[in-house]
Amino acid sequence: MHKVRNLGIEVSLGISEAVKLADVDAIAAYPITPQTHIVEHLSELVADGELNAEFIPVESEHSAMSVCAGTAAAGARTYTATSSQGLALMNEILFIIPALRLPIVMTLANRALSGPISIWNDHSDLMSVRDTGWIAIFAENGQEAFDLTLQSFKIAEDHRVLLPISVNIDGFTLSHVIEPHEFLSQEEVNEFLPPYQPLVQLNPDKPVSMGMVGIPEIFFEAKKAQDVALIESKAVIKEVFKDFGDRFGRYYNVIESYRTEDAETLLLTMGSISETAMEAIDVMRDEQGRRVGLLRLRLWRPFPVDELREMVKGVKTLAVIDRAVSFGGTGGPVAGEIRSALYSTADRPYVASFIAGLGGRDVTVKDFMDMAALAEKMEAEGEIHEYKMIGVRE
Amino acid sequence: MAKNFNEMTWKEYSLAFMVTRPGCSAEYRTGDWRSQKPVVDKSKCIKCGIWELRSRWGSVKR
Repeated sequence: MHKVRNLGIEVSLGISEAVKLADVDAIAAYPITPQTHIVEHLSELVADGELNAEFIPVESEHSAMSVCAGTAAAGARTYTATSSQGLALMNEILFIIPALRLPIVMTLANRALSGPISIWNDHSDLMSVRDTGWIAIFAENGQEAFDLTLQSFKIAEDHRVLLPISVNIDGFTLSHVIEPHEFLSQEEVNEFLPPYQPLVQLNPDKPVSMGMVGIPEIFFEAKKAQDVALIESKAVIKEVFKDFGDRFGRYYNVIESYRTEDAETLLLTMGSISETAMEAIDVMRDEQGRRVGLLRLRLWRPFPVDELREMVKGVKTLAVIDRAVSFGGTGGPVAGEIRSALYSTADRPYVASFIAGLGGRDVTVKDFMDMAALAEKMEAEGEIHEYKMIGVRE
Repeated sequence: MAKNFNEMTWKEYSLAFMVTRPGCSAEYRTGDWRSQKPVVDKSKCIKCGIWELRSRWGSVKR
């Protein structure tokens, strides 16, 4: 049994502690709300000699991610964090990291993209980098953020993976709240996460060239290899989740479920609103006797298609709650994905696409209950729709 | 080299398409890039110098 060390701490600082326990070699980051506290604390840990790492302050996020590419290519365990506009500024380099198979871990404190200017939480930043080829994982609370940060290094650096990961935490809702954490000791982390062993690295004694030109004769093959690597990372992600659970008692799944037994209607969420949704499920189940449950998508990329298909079997209505808009599209980004995944399956549920909680707007227990009821009504009436915005003043 | 680089399947390349052997570009056949071979007709030369500026890699002088 592992030693328990409980501590009430801000979620951002809990993530910094996880990064410290992971004994990273290099951090390059630029401060941006609401990610600031994470890297601020890390720079303190490095300055105070508690973490033996290179902390490289840069002049922009474009530089931050470029430096990370360099340190990871040199074989350093590399970490960064950003939000919203910062992520947007990294965009050019984000595509290159997975193509170079560099296992960088990045915390993404999810925040709306401007405009109007917003520092508050939604998922539009992550959705803007959906096709960059990064693994994307969601934490719903501080403990998960701590645990998933540690697990992400192990996943990313596995030689069967060698891909970057973004660990998504909702800005402010998670980043700036104090929550109870169960920390792991340095010994436990060392045993779970041995030092990074690069498969290939930049080293003058054994020169390699990374980031070569891909002429038309090989570019397509490069992309195929990258796609397969991302899809196949799911097996390793599940393996690491199980290893972590066996060691420390906290098990993670690519899609989490809550009270889905015999459910006719399922809600589907990503991130911290899942905890509010669970409360709504309790009210609907216990006080109204309704057969509703909740799916919480933990792994956004690679998208867990098989698990999703299995988990919605026998379900009549699936209400997907998105926290980003695909302007002029056919549904919220998550709902669109789910409709595609289920289209070819027999007996698929009716998929209602709801967009809620943009730019920090609260999504309440009542909102979830309303969405469940509305989705059931739409299913009964066979309503054809693309998506509906919930909570917007009409 | 066992297989020409443009005949390999996606499974056969190095990780992230890295080049792990310095100088291996010498093995890359580039001779078939050209489909037409220019021939200089010196009887038409008026010594304008334009070709010297525009020829690739300074292949023609004066």
